[in-house]
Amino acid sequence: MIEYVSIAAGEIFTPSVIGYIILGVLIGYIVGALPGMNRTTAIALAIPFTFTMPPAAALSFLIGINKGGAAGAAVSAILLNVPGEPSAVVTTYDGYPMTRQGKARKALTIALLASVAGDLLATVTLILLAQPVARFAIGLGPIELASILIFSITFIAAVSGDSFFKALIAGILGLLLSAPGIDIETGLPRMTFGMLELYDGIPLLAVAIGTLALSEILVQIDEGWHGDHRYPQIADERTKNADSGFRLPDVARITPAVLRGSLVGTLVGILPGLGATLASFLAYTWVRQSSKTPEAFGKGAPEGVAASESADNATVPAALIPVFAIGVPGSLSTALLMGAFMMHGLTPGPFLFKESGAVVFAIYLGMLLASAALLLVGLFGQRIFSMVIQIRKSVLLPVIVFLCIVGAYMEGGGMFGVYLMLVFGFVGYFMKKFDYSFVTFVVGYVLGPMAELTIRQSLIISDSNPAVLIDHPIAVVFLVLAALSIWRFAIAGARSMQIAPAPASDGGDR
Amino acid sequence: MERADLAGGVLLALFGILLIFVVIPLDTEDGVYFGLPPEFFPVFLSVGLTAFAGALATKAWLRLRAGVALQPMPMRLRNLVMFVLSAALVIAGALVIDYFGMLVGGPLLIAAFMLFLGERNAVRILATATLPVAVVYLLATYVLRAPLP
Repeated sequence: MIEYVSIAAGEIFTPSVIGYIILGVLIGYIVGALPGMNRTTAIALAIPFTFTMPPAAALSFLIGINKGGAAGAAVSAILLNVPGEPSAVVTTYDGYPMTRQGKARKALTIALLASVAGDLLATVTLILLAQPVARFAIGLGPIELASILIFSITFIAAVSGDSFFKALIAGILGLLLSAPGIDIETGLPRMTFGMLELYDGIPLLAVAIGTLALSEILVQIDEGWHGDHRYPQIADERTKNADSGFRLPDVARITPAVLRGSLVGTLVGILPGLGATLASFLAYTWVRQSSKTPEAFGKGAPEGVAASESADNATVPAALIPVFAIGVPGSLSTALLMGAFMMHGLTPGPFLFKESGAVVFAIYLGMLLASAALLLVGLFGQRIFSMVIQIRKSVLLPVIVFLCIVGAYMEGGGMFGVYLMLVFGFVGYFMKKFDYSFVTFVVGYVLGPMAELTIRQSLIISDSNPAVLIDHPIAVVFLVLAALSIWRFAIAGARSMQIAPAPASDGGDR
Repeated sequence: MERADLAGGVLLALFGILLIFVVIPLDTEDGVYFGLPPEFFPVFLSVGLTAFAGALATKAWLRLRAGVALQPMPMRLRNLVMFVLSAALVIAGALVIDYFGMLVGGPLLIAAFMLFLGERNAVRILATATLPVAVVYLLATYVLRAPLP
């Protein structure tokens, strides 16, 4: 382990890699701050630009975007009352009232410190937990892994969108997308329609950029047709207020809220599909209920901003625990990061630590550096971000469309990838409009090869006899949980008691 | 929304059936193998797709029949027109890039989109259409060594 750390330090502590990490956080911060833009779009668009980077640098850069995006979403929530991402909705409850009271700078600083603290605590949890869980997961056979995957997709479908059936259909379509290409077991081509380009399967970036980025642009254009293509004006913060700055006693005031938020964010982040939006809602509710002045919440309570932001940011590293340990992503951004891992020759899952231990430790160091970068970028960039969030949509959206085309082209396959990306962009538009969860769609697509392998191995090992499950209690537990998810959300039809509050635009990281 | 769910469910169920009986059998190569055939997984998923799409259509149909509080359609004709126009613009931009390259197609795509979104400031259009394309082109060609069309 010590030699891993020294190799990792040598890889990460170079000017270029540190520069990549800071750049990643900065991009994420800006994208997160822009209303309507989100970090998953930024990650999808950034992946092709990492192809020439070393794996640890590339992944730290992408994780930096993810961390920056989670923190940046608070900027527009506080200054404009428009959350940069759905997970920042809760931040508007107290952040915007603080701005109206002339305490915008204080609210932004609290949001930043809470974000960094939540992120740091969850990163440490990831470092402490991922390897022991991976050690345990090495003992899991294909039957257990197949049941974990079935549970993950079912559970994500259960908490995504308004219709369980539509979310599950989207997940199955995502899994089906992974089928074209050379069959992993027999080596025979299938569903390639005579196209050589499809022998390696459907490219990840064509799916990701199309479904996440281009479709989002199309939805925004469509919704903004009769509206102004400018964002609302920043609230007037020139009001003189003695309590407008962040002071040392504020640290003591927000610390309990930050700790509660970080705990909730970490726990929610580990579970598949629940996401940052639910984490910030739960943390806010908990902190308000345990407060001596719950009536102050919603009117500019700093604890409200701290709870929401720490929970939101804690979900980012926490969601990587199942990816590192068992190779199962629970959200859009982790699905994309898992795709990026594979593009850089790393296989997330129990053997990651054994096969690429030094790279994992380098990523850990990169994540810790990204936390520090988050603090610096946030502290020094506040004024710049408050200007950036006012960029006109008529300037921003066309540039993103151009970047979508560049990104899809750069993955390889030339214009074929671009045309495929356009198809997925159009499909994604209708999925968003008709509430077919693109979260389960993308997660299904990323998990497809692993799901196929484990299900086929399970059927061969068991000779298709379900009685063998008796010897696999872990598999039984996950299959029962999957069945409960189906019963709870489909058969019982209790959608009104849905766990996750579905955001209006499912553009965040769920 | 229920009408859309009904139509979507029926179409997806038909798509699943088409996959099971036509697309997958016709487009999977036959050969010698041990274990499960290559079409096993796609067929397995297509069966699931058909079943859940059928369930979605049935649920929507039952709600329509019961006349319970129906959810509004998420799309109107205006949305569809906007989508078609935007999609046509993106496709046209991709075709121009395909035939004339990124340096010509990129600025044209951005400028056309800006005009489409109501931007009329010539300086802003010129700057936005050229600067990002130049930066990306230089970055891809000289830093990433990934030639663009």
